[in-house]
Amino acid sequence: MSHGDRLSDKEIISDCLKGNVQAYAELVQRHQRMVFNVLYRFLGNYEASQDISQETFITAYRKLDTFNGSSKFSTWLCQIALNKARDLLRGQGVESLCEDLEDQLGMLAGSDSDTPHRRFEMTQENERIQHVLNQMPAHYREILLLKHLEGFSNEEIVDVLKITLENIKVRTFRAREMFKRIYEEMV
Amino acid sequence: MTRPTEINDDDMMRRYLDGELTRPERALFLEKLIPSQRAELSAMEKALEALANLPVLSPPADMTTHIMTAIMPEKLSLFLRIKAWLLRHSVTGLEIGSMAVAAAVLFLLLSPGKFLSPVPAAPHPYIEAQAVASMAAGNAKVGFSLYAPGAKSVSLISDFNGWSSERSVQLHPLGNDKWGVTVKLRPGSYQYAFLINGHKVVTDPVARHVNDDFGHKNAIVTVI
Repeated sequence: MSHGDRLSDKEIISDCLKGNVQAYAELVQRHQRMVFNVLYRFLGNYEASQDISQETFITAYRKLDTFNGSSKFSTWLCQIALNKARDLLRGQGVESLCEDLEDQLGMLAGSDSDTPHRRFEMTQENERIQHVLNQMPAHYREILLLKHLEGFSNEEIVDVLKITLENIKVRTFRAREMFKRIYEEMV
Repeated sequence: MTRPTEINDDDMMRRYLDGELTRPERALFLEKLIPSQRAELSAMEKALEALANLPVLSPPADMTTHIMTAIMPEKLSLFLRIKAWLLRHSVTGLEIGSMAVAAAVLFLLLSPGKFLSPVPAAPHPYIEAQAVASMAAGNAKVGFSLYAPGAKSVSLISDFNGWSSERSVQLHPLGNDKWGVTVKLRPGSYQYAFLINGHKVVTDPVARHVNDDFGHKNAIVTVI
């Protein structure tokens, strides 16, 4: 019986492609936190992040046979998630879905009786950071989140955003400058 | 010997913040900064540190269930379908929803066979059901039960006890040939089976299954 060794993402994907649908639950559990957090910080809206996280994993499962093993499964998921999130913003003609932060906090506090880990204390500093993110254009926001929230390398960000390394560098620089400027204005 | 790259303002700043500079380059970069640039760099590092330290949110507890329901609606176990339904319709959150699941599963266990009609007929006289009863401090109490006529002992072997019969968890007789036990589990997926009379391995016929490395199927329970 299998116990002890943790299967790699690619081994689990191989299992899924052989028909072991249930194995996909492990992939979901490994990556849902990352996908959900990137989406929440990108969109600034809890419910939309939840919906798109689910859609991301469902789409990924249905396209699993197209997954190119040369990149990480996590970067592929991020690519799908951000594509969906951008489509959502584009459809609504907005740069973020942020509602009033106090409403957001109230909703979070009121709906997390089942998951203590979801109950987080959003300090004034955290509120300010989310405000700053919400004021930035989506293409700057996403690169900052991948780089500084998830710690992706430039090469991984290339996999997610499908733009050149040079563009990543330029965009990262500009995004940081804008982030710092807005952040300082809010202090 | 590596020669430090010449200072090139924006690109050096980016490379510094990305940790791409060698130690000599880093030292040279910092040395050449005038006080106002040093203050700028300090402010940038402070802002980015605040971004990196944003709290990590846990995704909704039922996300895995919803996703798995969507990708295999016909193959999902009765338990997970009931759980998903109850979670969608719960009023005050998972805890009540999960207790309702437990109650529902127990109800099904103790009910006439007609309630179990969606469950495939077991090839042996054992019928099993599982339930996530409650969750607190990252641990879920998971109830395992088995209908095992004639059994003298029933135990649980699983990932969480190394599949060891010596470290197996004993189920307690509940009367009417039913056995049960509740264990605390952290979030994750656990494969398991029952051991009857210390030697007969029985796979839960109604749970989700995964193939093990030896061509057998194990039941799997997921704590979310």
